[in-house]
Amino acid sequence: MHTVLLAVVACLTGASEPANDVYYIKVGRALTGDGVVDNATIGVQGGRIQSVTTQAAPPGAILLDFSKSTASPGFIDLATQLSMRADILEPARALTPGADARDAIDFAHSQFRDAARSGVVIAGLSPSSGNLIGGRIAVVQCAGANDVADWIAEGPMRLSITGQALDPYRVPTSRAAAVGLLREHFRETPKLGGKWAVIEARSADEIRLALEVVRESGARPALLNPLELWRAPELLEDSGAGVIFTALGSGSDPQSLRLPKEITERGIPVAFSAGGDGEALRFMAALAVRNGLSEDLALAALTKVPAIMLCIDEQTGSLQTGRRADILITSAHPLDLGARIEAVFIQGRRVRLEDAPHKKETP
Amino acid sequence: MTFLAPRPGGGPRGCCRIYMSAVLLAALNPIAFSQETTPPPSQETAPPPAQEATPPPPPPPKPPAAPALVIQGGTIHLGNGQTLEGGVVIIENGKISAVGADVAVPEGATIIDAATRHVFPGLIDCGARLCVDPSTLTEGSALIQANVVDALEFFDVEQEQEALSQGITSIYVGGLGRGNLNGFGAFLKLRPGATAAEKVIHKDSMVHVLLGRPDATAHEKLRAQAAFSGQLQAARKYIESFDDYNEKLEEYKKALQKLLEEIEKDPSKAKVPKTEGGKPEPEAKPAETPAPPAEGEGEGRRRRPRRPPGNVWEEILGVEARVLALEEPAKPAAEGEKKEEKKEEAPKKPQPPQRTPAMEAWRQVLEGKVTLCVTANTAADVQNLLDLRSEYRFRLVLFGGTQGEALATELKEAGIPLIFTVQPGTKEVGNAVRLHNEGVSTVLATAGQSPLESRTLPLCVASVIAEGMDASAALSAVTSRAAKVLGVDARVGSLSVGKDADVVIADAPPFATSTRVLQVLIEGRTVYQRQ
Repeated sequence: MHTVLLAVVACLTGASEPANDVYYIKVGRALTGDGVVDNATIGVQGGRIQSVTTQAAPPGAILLDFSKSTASPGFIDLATQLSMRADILEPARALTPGADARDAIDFAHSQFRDAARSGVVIAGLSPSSGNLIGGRIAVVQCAGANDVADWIAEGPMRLSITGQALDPYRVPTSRAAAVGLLREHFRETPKLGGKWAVIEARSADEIRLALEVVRESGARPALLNPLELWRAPELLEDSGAGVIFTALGSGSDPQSLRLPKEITERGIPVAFSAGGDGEALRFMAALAVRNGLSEDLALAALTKVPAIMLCIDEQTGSLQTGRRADILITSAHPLDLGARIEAVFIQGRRVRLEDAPHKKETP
Repeated sequence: MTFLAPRPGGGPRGCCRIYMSAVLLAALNPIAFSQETTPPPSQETAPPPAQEATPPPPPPPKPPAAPALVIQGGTIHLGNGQTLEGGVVIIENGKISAVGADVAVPEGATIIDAATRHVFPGLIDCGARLCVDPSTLTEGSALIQANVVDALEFFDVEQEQEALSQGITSIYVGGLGRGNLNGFGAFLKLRPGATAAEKVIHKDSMVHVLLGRPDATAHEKLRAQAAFSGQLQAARKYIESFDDYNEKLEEYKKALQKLLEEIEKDPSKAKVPKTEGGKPEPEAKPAETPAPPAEGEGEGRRRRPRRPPGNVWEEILGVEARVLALEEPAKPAAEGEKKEEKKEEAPKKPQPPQRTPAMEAWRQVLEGKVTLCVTANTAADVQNLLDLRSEYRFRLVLFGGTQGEALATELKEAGIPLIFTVQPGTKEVGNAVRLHNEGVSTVLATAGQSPLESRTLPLCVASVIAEGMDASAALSAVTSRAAKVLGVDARVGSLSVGKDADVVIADAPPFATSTRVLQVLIEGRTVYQRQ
């Protein structure tokens, strides 16, 4: 068994293109994103999911046995700055719509490998909050050929109207002027159209303005860190908006911690982001579950919802035939902090977990 | 005994009491004593200022005929490693009166149906920052004799409810400062509506020293080491100086007795001890208590020297009094001549060493009356700590210990318990399991970076379970074992007969992510109920 397994790993990680081999992963339970399949066998071919069934793998096929474990879609963290540092912040100008985070990434950086090992298969690489319009988010798979990260798609535009985007040494210096500038910009340039726009807004009035500005741009707003939303949750009614939380932690005030539960009850999509650290993502989601969010919605906030916001939900974010084989295998439910990560597959390639910075692979 | 603890602002009066019996204390220190005997404020009144906190008051009076409360069912995790399937927990007068599968349910009892639920003891967070104003977490050192109770905000109802809603019923708060010497910690129950004095179970049994934060520079570490060992050295000298003083007192007593015998034989030889001479002795410290009866003395003789330990003192006083009594008649006869002799031959009364509140705290540590709780994380810091302990023999609890697994054997052999601070997602979490497996008594706690962090205790424990700790051992680590290390195991930490009825009822095992805490009881009273 071990030799077979090693051979598979070697051929999967060694290939420069998604391996064309067919193999099967047997798991005790698969959380596909649409439901639960017990005793599932996931067929993988050419880096894509071929099937998720309860039928046994055909005789003679390569079979990876995780029959006591749980498979779920790999995590997607859509607002990280892995490897980027300040390469994307433009201090001299408030609007940099032409910037693309793709041009500020060090793909070979070890932070991507750490992210992959902690269960994050895809990361959105985001411009910072220091510009009113920061530029495009880049969608990156955390481990591609030869363990190096890979760009896979252009993501949403990144905006901010928090105080961080106002700088006393450049125009605009006031929030009113900033909002005016954004409106003017979106009147003159082509609309962002159907896609999402990720906009940072913390206080209740920033949230209101963010929703207005993004609506004028023609995009759907994904509010980043709207921690004061509990003051005015009705702002989101019929806005088509989504919410991304990055700063929920053990120090958050109780109202903020109950926000994920309250706004998902209103049918608003919620995603979590934690700097590309899968352990931190799990902890944040678990904390939200402990504060009332359902486990299914919490898992969706790490998989399906960020995939939708990055417009890659046709490719990944759930375990369905034809989607990328981005699979996380854990010893129990992935949000149970008592569960260990047993395997991570990115586009069908198995990520090496040895020398993991956070967790040791169990024998 | 709370009143033996040095209190900030206790003044010179407070310094004496250690060496005295309680009776002497009552006589010598009437103010302090009456303070201790003041009845504890009732539940309705506002809590007194923390520095006047009274010793643990008796549990609030309950009507004697209160009906029993019965929790029926489900999975009962006792907190000591055992689990009962489908038993009952019977609570009378705030205490657990019976636990088991075939226990008779008293008549007229109120029944809580928990047939499909999990029942476990209230969790204890030993690394809590609850009720702490973050502004008190300063860089500087607090005084070693300071008490954390004086820095707590007892009225933050929200923080309390947050912790209760995750099944945490008691906390230990200590080592607040980020300096080296951080004062006494306190063990509290999260009883909503109770006064500060009722919440505090103990506040004088553990004192905190920070030996090394994981991120400390080499220089900071050296300074912390030097400060710590310097204090221990000074404390040892301090104790020795008092031993020395007591020896000299003994000699003084013998000399006095000898003098007495001489006088009794020949009253003309009467000599007044030097310090009891007619004019006031400048060095002697004033004392408030009345002088012992000494017949025929003038006002000048009423001044009181410091009291040596009980018996010696009484003997000396007795002898002195008798010397003086015999001396009186002889006095008018030939005063001038005798005074010359007196100065040459009168026994010298020794001077007591200076007492300081800080050194009193250290003395209690070295005498084993107070446990030292030392924060150390790296193996090097832990090794240094163990070396100091083998030299000074204090009672020790290790706090932090996140990289202490290399010294697991030494910790186990020395019987030193560990309060392991868990930061989920860091690679050190696995060390808790290794230390536990090596036999070190390991308690799990939050890392206390924000006042609200206690509510994450169940998730912190879950992350340790992920590294391989057995779930029931992990429960013990935040219940019975925690109570034992903190010295409160007579009252909390397990569901067993005689313990306080601090009970949590939840819909799933204690540390699962999806667990909802449904009801929390403290001393039999419901303090949290999920809507």
